[in-house]
Amino acid sequence: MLLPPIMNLLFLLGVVVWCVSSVVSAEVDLDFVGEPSINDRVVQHHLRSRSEMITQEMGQRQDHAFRQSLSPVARRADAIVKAIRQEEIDNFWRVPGVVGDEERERFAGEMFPKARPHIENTTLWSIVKRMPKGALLHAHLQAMLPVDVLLDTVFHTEGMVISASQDVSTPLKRENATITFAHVNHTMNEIHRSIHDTNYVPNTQIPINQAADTFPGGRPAFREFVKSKMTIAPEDSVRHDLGVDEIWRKFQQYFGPTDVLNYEPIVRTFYRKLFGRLVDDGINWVEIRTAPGEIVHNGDEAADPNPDAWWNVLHEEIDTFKQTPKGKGFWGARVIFTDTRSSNRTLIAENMKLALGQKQKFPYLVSGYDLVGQEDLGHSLLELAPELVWFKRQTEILNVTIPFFFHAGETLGDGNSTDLNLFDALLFQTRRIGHGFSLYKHPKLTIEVIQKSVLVEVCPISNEVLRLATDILHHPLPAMVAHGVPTAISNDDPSILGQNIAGLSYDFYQTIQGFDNTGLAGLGALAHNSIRWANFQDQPHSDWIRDIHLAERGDSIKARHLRSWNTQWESFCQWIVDTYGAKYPAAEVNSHV
Amino acid sequence: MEQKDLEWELEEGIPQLEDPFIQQYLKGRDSLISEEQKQRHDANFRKALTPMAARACKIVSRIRDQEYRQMVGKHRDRLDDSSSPAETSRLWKAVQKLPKGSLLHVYLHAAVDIDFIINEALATPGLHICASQPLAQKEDYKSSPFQFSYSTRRTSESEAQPNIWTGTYNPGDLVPVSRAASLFPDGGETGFRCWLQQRCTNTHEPGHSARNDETATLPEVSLPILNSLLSYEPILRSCLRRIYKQLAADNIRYVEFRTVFSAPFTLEGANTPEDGYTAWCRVFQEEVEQFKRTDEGQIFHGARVIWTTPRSLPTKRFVQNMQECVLAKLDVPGVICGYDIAGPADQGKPLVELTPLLFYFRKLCAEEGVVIPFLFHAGANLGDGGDGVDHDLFDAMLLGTRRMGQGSSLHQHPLLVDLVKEKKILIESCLRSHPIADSVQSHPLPALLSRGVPVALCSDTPGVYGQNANTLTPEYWTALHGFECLGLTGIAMMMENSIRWSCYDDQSPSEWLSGIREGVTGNGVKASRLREWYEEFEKFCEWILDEFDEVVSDD
Repeated sequence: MLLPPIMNLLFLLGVVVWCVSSVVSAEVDLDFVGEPSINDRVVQHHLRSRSEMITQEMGQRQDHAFRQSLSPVARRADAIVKAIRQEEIDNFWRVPGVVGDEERERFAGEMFPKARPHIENTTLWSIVKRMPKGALLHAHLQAMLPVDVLLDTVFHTEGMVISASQDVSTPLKRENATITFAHVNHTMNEIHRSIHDTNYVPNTQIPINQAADTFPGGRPAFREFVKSKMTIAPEDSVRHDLGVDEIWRKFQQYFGPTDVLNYEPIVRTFYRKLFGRLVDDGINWVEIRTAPGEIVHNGDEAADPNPDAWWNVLHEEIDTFKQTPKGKGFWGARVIFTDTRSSNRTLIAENMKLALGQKQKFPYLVSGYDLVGQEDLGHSLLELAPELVWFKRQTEILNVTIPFFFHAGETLGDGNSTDLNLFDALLFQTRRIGHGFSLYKHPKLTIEVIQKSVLVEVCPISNEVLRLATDILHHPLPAMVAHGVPTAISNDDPSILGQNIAGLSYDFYQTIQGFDNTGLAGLGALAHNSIRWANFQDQPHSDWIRDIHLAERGDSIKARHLRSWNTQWESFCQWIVDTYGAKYPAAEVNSHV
Repeated sequence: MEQKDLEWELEEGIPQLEDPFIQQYLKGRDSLISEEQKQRHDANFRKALTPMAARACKIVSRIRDQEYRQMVGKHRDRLDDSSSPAETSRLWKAVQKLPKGSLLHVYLHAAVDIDFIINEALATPGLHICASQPLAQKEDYKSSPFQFSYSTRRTSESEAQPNIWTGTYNPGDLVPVSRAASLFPDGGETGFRCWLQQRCTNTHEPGHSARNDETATLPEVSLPILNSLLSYEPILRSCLRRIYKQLAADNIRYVEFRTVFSAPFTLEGANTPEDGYTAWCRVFQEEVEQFKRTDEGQIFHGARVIWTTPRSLPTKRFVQNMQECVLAKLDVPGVICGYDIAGPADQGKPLVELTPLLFYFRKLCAEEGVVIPFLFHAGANLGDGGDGVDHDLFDAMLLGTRRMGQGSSLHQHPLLVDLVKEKKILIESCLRSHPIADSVQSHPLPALLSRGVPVALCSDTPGVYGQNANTLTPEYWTALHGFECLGLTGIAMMMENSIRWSCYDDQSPSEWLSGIREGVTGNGVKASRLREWYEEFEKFCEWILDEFDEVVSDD
């Protein structure tokens, strides 16, 4: 028996239709009155209440004020981008897998490492890339520049050598070896030609170009090998079942080879390329988290004993870059002095003294203080309360301003010590919170954060790759924005975590792609926030809060930068309208924007 | 700390924990934390604990911390962890013993133990399998639809015997199940069982966080298959009996099944199926009553059905489905207790597009004088808002839903969180079977509990996800183990909630609300079941003290 075509179709749609000939579908025959209608008075009433309710909730969003202030051009651009995004979700991202080739499945919001190769083929990407993004507030120096760029610099610098903790002749040895770069100014012993030789003596230095040329597979293979020591592989990124601790063990190792960032010519090139790439990505200002290191001057082997050297190099590079044509739009960079939270408390106190000393010498460069490393395993802020109280008191005595920008709540826990760090961070008057991943579970703290105007530096890709959220769709960002928590988007460690660019474009892309409620306007608000909460200059707390609230209306540096960003934003929106307006003439302007 | 370090610190003027200044800091910190805890869902429950219960809570937390630490470094909190903690975990033992109240969110077809129903399918005389196309290729039998049906028709020897696994099969032809099994090209009957199991269950591999709507549709994919089996009386009866047994064994006393009525019901040995679902409801009721008369069933209070319409039905079929619901309710008033719409929220129509139909349904109920409240699924999708189905939450609220299924995106809506509390709407949360989170710790449940939203944990689709047992122990254990903040009071509160929000009787909105508000102080069925639960809970705490007292004795 053949099914009637319509039944067949329903059957395939998963709508269950009885397909046996003997069965007659029960035709209901009752005297029910009337039929469902969209024009029914009650239905219309429901639709009205619904839209009022949604509007009321939208009013609580942190980006509400920004949306209200949008110009007509920006509103139009927002509507166009909304249409483009939806079109790409339907026509570009929705690709079903097939039996036998399930990996073909593609969908909007899938895990970042899987989505990354496709992103750059989208129109939304070319828009996001061009967007003015304000300030990069949360990134760790050693992981800010793509590995390839760093490697190029190493290859092109005279006297660079590589050494390995063991020979790397087998896959297993390659996996277990650690590698180190250094600069030497003497001629090398020629006995060891390659780190790949089975008779390679551990830790022997080999000129980098020679090591690359003698590597099986040549330079490309050598690059791949070095990259495998400095980046999390996509295969690892998606293994959420192995948990947070496992990925952190790997993640921390990948910082090892970046010790090369002490040789002056490399450091200088690094800064130059970094600033250039940030500007290319629409970023005007950066606050770099790092523990200041040593500097080995050009041609030397030993580090300069004077810790000022590191700051001088940074200072000079910022100034030099600002003189270049590209650097015209660059507002500058500051450093958030970081220490390792797993260090012993005495050492932490020692380093605090160092921070205080350097703040006195380089007040314009030192922005604030923070503790880094896996939050779940290091000291909690509570454990360090005596040191932190002491530090604060010292800043008062010395009359310097070093506010806290604490990492807090970068955890899956609810009620564990990392989660509770959020309470301490607030009580210690942190000006921003790094990650704040668990904040959305805390009603009282959410209110405190809003009242005290504390911004959360959200790093969506980092949280995903370090296994807090399986993908962008599971990220708590929407919950924070909906409650009115100020947030900005950062990239944390883009060279290690897989963004593989210095800028913010991938993190911005994920944010607009993942959530319907964001849109171009929401993304604009996040960029705008990043400037409002940037620490451009030393300020007492009351001035800091005042400037955040005044925003572009004030006469501070901050207000000036915000006005400059507004101009960039307007011309960006105009560009969208000019470029895509003709293709999306009907994109209607949403009343909720 | 080393003496040397201490001296150094004192010399540098680094404050010590004992210093008044630091002590003051700590006091401020404590009060901030306790300020937040006042809002928690179980704040009152916690305050009202008897001394014995308070001690039991302490013991349970201690056990949780010990076991959690032991598991650190292992693959902890994977949801589909196959190594059951049942044998080793003391926490598990405790959760198992807890009086769990009601199971409020579970699909009937997905609650069925898959191995069991496969056995029934093979053992029931007259059962046939049919498909709308031959299942000849590997891809066909991996994904093409098929179903079962009962028929009294016997094929004579001379007639050609249809074979569903070959290209010559005529779509719609009935093949006896035993014959189809023995002809199965990939390993005969054993292979057939294996294949059926795969088509009905979902066990996704670790490391591949499955796409949201891919896993979400699985219960829907298996629905036609399982429903076609459950539409034959003997199989329905044996499955219900088995489910009731499993529930009662896990200290669950009452259940509300979300049931999709998609296949006409056939009585045992009947030539033609029944019109409507009156007969189905009678059978359902008989089985509950019979079970309650058995020894195992003595503690069991009953079972009811939430009539569930698939979201994807075309309008005309949708309306017919609603009418069938009202008819069945008129004939057997004790069975249907609510109405819901199911199907992946990301696909099909959002509630807002269905509002005309829903108001029509409400009018229908009023005209016929029946009470069938809405108990909607809402906010079970990922992502945030826009005009899409995330806004189902708003509709569900405005349509007066009494509970909300899943509500996984509710925490993204501050206004709705307040309204849910104000309107006394319970969230039915399913941690393990819902693919919202890979690790239970990234589930947004704590964000709701900390804001005082009432929640009960549910199992949703235990059979389809290969759990093969109708218990709430895994759900509650997962929560207790995964969330440091929860503790015994946290899960006990959710169990108490499940009774408070059960639809034992048909009630008007005001009766319903006062039943929830009054709790134990009321005088209806609900109040007496709550009182009974509190007595059991005290007994449970006593048992904890007897069993695990050594855990805290070393204080």
